[in-house]
Amino acid sequence: MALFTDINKRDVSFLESEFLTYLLMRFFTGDNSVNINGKDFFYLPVKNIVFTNESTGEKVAIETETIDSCKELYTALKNGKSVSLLQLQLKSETVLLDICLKTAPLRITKVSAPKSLAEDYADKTVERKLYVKVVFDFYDIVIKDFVNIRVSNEWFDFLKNFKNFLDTV
Amino acid sequence: MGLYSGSLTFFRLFYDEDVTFSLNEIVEHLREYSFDRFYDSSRPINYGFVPLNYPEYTDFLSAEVLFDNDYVFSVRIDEKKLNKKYFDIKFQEMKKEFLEQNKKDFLSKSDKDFIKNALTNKMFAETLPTTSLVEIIWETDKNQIFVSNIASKSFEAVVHLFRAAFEINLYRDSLFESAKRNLTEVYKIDELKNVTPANF
Repeated sequence: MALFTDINKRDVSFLESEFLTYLLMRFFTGDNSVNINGKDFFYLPVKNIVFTNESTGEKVAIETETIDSCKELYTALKNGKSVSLLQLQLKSETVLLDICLKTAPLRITKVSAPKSLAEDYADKTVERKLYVKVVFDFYDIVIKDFVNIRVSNEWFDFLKNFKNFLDTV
Repeated sequence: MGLYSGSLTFFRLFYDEDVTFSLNEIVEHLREYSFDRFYDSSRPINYGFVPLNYPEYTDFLSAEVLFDNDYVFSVRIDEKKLNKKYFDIKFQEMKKEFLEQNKKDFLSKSDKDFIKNALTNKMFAETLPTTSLVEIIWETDKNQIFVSNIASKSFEAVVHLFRAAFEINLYRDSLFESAKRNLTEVYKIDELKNVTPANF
């Protein structure tokens, strides 16, 4: 689904895959920590990543247990492909949440949370509701970070740093 | 699946109306637009609010709605679908019966419409529905709700119920909406609309 501006109907849907690619780049450049409501979390891309070539529509699905050493992943990034599906783990000292993000339109398509220890129905509901909110708070924070950097000159430095990183792998 | 167990996948919807409701008002509106109150077995689709721990609790007066500052409940959607082939066979049979009973040689358009309506109502009343429950978390202080299903039928039902019960117009989350709500510098949104693709 195309994402249009309300002013001049310009298609800016490319920003969705840029955002997911930005998250992956942040991970590789070691900036994957996020403070959510005063609590430290970090995210790790895991297992499934789908790259899409914006101009040709060609898709490359990568499934790996070792993101750090996956050659296909680096090749896709070096070939300028952008991410259209990203599976993440969002971790803190006590919580591990599995999240899947997709584009067209940008959305969270899967969330898995740890099994609740609460026995009472209300306690369980409150606990799991809290996980939903943590996921969306994370989503809002990283979108805000992305927009802040994307409209500034820092964006070009960020891309340059990432290209330098890719040259080393 | 949902808040009680299994996958915790929720989708976010926003609204812009500046409204505040007390717990009593919310419960009153949920009761007013509850599933049981509007249920009609002859309708192809029925939907309405139900408590989260439904069907253990069917009444909002006894069920818990407020969980740690957020309102949590569900929307029950019952949809009936008719098998077209079966309908066509029954329609032919009924047309034949109608001609014989009324000693007619042909059926007028109004006769056909009458038979079709009668058959449709009869079949909908006899058909079992497919039921789904959409869980809702309503964060009133952030003008947002989370729904456990956003397929078109569920989305339409939830949007319709919130508009009817609370005069709230819900719309889908997007990258721009999320950014707009979390950035204080509005000019950045305008700048974002004008960026060119990064071409990684």
